[in-house]
Amino acid sequence: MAETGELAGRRESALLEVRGLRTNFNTKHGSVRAVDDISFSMARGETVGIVGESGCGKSVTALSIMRLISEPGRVEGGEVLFGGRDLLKLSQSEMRKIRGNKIAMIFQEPMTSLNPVLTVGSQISEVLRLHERLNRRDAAARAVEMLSVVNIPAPEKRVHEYPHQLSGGMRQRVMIAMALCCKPDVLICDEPTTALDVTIQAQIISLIEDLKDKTGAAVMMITHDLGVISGISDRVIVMYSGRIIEEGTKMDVLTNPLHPYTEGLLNAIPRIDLDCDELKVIPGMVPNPAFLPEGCHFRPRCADARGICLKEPQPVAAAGNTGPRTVRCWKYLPDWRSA
Amino acid sequence: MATYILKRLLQTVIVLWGVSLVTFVLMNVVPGDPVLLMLEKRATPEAVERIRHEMGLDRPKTTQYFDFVSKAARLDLGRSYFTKEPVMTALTRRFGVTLRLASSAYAIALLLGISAGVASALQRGGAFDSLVRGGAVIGISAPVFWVAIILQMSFGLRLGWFPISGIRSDWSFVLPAIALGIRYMASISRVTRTSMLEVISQDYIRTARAKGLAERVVILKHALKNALIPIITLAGSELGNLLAGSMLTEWVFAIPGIGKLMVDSILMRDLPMLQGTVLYIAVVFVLSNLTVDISYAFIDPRIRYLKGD
Ligand SMILES: Nc1ncnc2c1ncn2[C@@H]1O[C@H](COP(=O)(O)OP(=O)(O)OP(=O)(O)O)[C@@H](O)[C@H]1O
Ligand SMILES: [Mg+2]
Repeated sequence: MAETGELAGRRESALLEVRGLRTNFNTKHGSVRAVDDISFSMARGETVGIVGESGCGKSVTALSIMRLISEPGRVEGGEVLFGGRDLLKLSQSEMRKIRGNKIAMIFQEPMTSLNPVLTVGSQISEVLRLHERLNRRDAAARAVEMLSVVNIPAPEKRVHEYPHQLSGGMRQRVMIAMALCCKPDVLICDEPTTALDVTIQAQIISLIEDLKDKTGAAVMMITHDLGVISGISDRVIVMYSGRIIEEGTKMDVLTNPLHPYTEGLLNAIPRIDLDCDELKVIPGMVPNPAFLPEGCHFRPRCADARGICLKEPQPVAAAGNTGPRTVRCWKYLPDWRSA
Repeated sequence: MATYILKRLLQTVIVLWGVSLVTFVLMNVVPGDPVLLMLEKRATPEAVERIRHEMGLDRPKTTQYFDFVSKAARLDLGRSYFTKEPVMTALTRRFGVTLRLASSAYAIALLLGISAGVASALQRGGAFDSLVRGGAVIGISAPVFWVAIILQMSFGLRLGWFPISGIRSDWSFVLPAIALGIRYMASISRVTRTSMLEVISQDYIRTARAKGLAERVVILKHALKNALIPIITLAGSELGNLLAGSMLTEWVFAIPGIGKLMVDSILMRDLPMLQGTVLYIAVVFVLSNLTVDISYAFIDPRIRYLKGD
């Protein structure tokens, strides 16, 4: 009984809940599933990190939530519950009222994500005029304000500049200003620092963290860098080849990884405290979604694989020290011992 | 920005000077003695010599050239051998007609070319896209006089909707403008389509959609403004082409513009008039390129700052 109570409580506090999301792409190898049965939820004000190697479907998950998947891609199924409604069922015009307003997104490529022929000021005020119905003057004033919020020096001068006049870090700050100007409930950051210098990376991450605390937005932090995760997240979701393979609190996942893939990822981080000469890189590569291995997608790269891994594992709840967690691996299923 | 414009202006002056030199040389190497052309066959050698002296043709070529340049700079291009009308007056009068024809052709080409290009990019692979692309191939490869004659026969003679020659009313310009503008319309629709397809796959278009903007705003504001950059280059250089390349069209439709003036001067060996029209064409080209470059800098901030201060 206690458990149902806790579950119900969690569900109630969920701000965004994704259930069974599946997204396909039509390619020359036929229809390819890039995101396969993804389910997770985010609470108000929470930071959820999504990690995984390049090509595992992180961006596609984010874009599917925003309904920004375009040809040749298509969201095939699932639900994205937000504010009591399934976003996947909204009309285009209802969805537009949510994008940039309730759910905003920052992209991986700051150099190319801003329109080169519009001033940064006009690109920010455009959002305010659209969603907050501000007039030109008020929107322009708010744009200056937003630039100073994201710590851009001389904002009254910068608003009149074009993206090419700003450095990558500055542009990403502009993107953040643009994303946060309507005080969204959810901020999706798709590898916001991957394209930036290491020193700038830290600044951008702490800026996002800081603004998240101020605005109370829930943040979905997509990254392939576990360092970013350890700096920011409450909860971590590990993706592999279009699926969630492990989920839990940051503490649990980083200190006690359950899935062999998560373990491999953690071993691949260079550590100063441990004096070892070589990094343990996971052998092999993420499979091409067009030619997925049978059963567990990680099986061909997994040192622990057994015969049973040719069948598809289902997610199971596991014991976490600091919160609930799940893992999708045969090792944690009762059949493992007999296999 | 100002330095950039200044630099371009200076370049233009140099090019114009080169143009004057080339024109002068050309006029001096064309076969046929202008004096003999002007005078009747039975003129005495003395009379020929006298006229030659009066016209300054017996002076050294360099003197003649500087004389020509200094007069040309004061817009004095001499007089027609036959009508005795000052060349500049004839050019100005005819220019009005050509300008009207070229700007109608230009407006039609830009308006229809850009809309067709955008629409076909947005419906890539659809029926309309195929229609536009097919039409563009025909439009680009069809010779002007062929298009002109087809238009004259169908809309002029058979349907009787528009006049087929002369310039009695505004309607007289419709068929010539289509004939003149059709290949530019075709090439503009192609460039627009390609440019638009490239732009709509850019990251900033995805950003614009992620902001919640309506598709109309995404296309017309965020995409088209970027897609216009190559279109402006093309469109600008084509205004020059239209103004300077209306010879065939004017001739087929009997429109008394500069193109027809040029053809007539060639046929009549009216050298000062021919020289005037050649200069006109060169100047139109140079000035329209100048306009393109400057407007290019206005629309694309990257160039404005790159080439600027
Ligand atoms: N436009 C597309 N056409 C075909 N397949 C696509 C397309 N976009 C994504 N995919 C497929 O979806 C898979 C997941 O891509 P996604 O961009 O989500 O990866 P990611 O996890 O964000 O990687 P990265 O860290 O490189 O950003 C890719 O492996 C690819 O096969
Ligand atoms: Mg990505």
